[in-house]
Amino acid sequence: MRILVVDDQATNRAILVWLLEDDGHEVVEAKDGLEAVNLFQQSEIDIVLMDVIMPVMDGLEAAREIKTLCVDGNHVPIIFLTALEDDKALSECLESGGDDFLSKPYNEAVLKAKIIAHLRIRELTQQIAESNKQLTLYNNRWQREKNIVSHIFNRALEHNLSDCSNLRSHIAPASTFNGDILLSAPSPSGGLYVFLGDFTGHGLGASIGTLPIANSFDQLVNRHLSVGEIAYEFNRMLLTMLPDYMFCCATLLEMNPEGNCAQIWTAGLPDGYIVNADGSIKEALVSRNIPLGIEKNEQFNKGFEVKSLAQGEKIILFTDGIIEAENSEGEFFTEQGLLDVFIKGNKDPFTGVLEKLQDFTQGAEQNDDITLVEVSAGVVNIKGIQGSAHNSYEGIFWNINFELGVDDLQRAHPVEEIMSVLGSQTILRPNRDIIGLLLAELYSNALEHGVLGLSSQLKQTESGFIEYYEQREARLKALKEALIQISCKILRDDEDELVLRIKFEDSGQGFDTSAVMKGAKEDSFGRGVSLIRKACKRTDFFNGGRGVEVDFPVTRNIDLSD
Amino acid sequence: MSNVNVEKSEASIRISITGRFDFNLLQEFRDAYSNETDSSCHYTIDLAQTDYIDSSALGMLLNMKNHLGAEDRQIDIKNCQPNLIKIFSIAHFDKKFNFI
Repeated sequence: MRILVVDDQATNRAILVWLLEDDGHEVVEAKDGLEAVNLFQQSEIDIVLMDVIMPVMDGLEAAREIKTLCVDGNHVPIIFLTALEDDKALSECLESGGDDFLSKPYNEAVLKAKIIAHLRIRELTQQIAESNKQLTLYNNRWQREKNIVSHIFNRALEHNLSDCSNLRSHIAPASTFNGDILLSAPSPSGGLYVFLGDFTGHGLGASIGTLPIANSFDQLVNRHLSVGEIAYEFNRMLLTMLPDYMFCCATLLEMNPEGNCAQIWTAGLPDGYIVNADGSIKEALVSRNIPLGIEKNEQFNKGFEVKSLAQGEKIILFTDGIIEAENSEGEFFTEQGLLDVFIKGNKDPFTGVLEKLQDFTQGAEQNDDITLVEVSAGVVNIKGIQGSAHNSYEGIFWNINFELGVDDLQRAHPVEEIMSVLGSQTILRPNRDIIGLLLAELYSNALEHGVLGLSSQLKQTESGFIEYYEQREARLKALKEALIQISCKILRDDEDELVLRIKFEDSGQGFDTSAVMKGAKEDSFGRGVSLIRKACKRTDFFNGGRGVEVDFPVTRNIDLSD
Repeated sequence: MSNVNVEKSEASIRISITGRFDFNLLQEFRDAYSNETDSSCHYTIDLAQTDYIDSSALGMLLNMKNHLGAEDRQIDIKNCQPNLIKIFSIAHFDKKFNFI
């Protein structure tokens, strides 16, 4: 260690130098306070031994100067060596910034002990200063990263309908990052999808899993998958992504456009409730499955429940943060606390629950993320989405053509490939599944009755039905030359209605279209054509059955009942 | 894995279809009910895992109903996805089968 010895008496300094160098210290000498201050600035000093009364600048003044030079947690102990013995003098030593004192003549062993003790304090102080510096550094870095991450999360979780009159929600994360996730989206047919999930734990770790879910939700919804299918996809994703001890409790529901029926898939969340119009409980929605991220794909249960809903009824879903909310006495809100709100006459249980929760916790610190959702029965009303039902269209009036040769016809599902092109068109999205069915039926007709020359009369008996499909396979395999041309076009028809005009032309011999059209309801054939005629506003065969053209009204809400 | 799965218990048979329900399943689907000798057996068709049907599937279902004979013999169709419900209702199947 480097020790600064300050004394105006050369002999006193010599003794100290001799003593300290013996112990392996390096000694720097100053003959007065001013010289001490200068030396202190020039080299790094670990400890100062200071005489009090000196010419030019005394020890007290020098101590004050030196202490002001010690910045950034650099603690340099100053030990006064003094002949003064009165209490006042000694307390002055400490007030000036001295850390300790020793009366002359000093005991050699005591001096050494004090030096060792003060060096230890200096070392500890340095360690603390270093740790503090690191902490500040980490904290700044964490703040910066937190900002980036929370930006990403906020973006991802924007997948939520803000102006759907069927949906109300209360979301209160326990920290910046939410382990609860609420997603909602319109279904392609005009209904409503809602996903409520709660990942194990809370904070950043818990919220990581929400990202892939949020990002794939819209896509799955646009494919109009069932709640069971969507749950399966989420489970598959989380299974590969999350560590074993992490999973996601969830409820998924889809309400039809009329708002009188909901399909519900449940896994591990507390019981949700269907509440009657008068506020009383109609039915509990008990969890039927293991939470997402646990079950192997093969064992996954896509089965869901279908609940019919009457006008005024509500579905209430929530995460366990509500029933486990604590007040300042450490008591839980409990399920009973929640059930007490659902009583006859209390027509707004959503607000009721929030008010009761507020009353209960009185602002006590929240330990877990809280989410409460209400889905009201009744025609689904989402601002902006309704607009697509009108006849306005600002996109391109496109025309997409496909020519299918023998190789294409022999492949498994050419219609699926065509739908993957058409399905991405926004204008077709709401009726994607019906258009897919239309194309499939038109394609079957063109291929089976046209190209392959199969007669639908064959399908009148059960054995004929089987023979029909056996012949289909055999003839398709033997096919040498054939062509099916398909044209799909967006246009306004004579009545100024926006339609998708689909035209099929095939290289077959044509067929008696009247026979197909006549297919009675009880027969197991002719059904394809009746499906087509039902969905389209115009169906015209031409060129002796070698061609067919249909107009599908894309912006109409297809009424499927009679 | 087979796309047509048959579960049998006492007096009932449950047929589950996975993926596409179309003419490719013709033989498998037919086997699921045609070998059963117990004429009082109750049938349930579970479409929870079915994501596509076309008119040939409708035909196959009608064949099944005809094969089993009497009009009074109920066949239940359960867990139908919304897009399939649409197709069934266009075809008026709600009058021929019991949707649950």
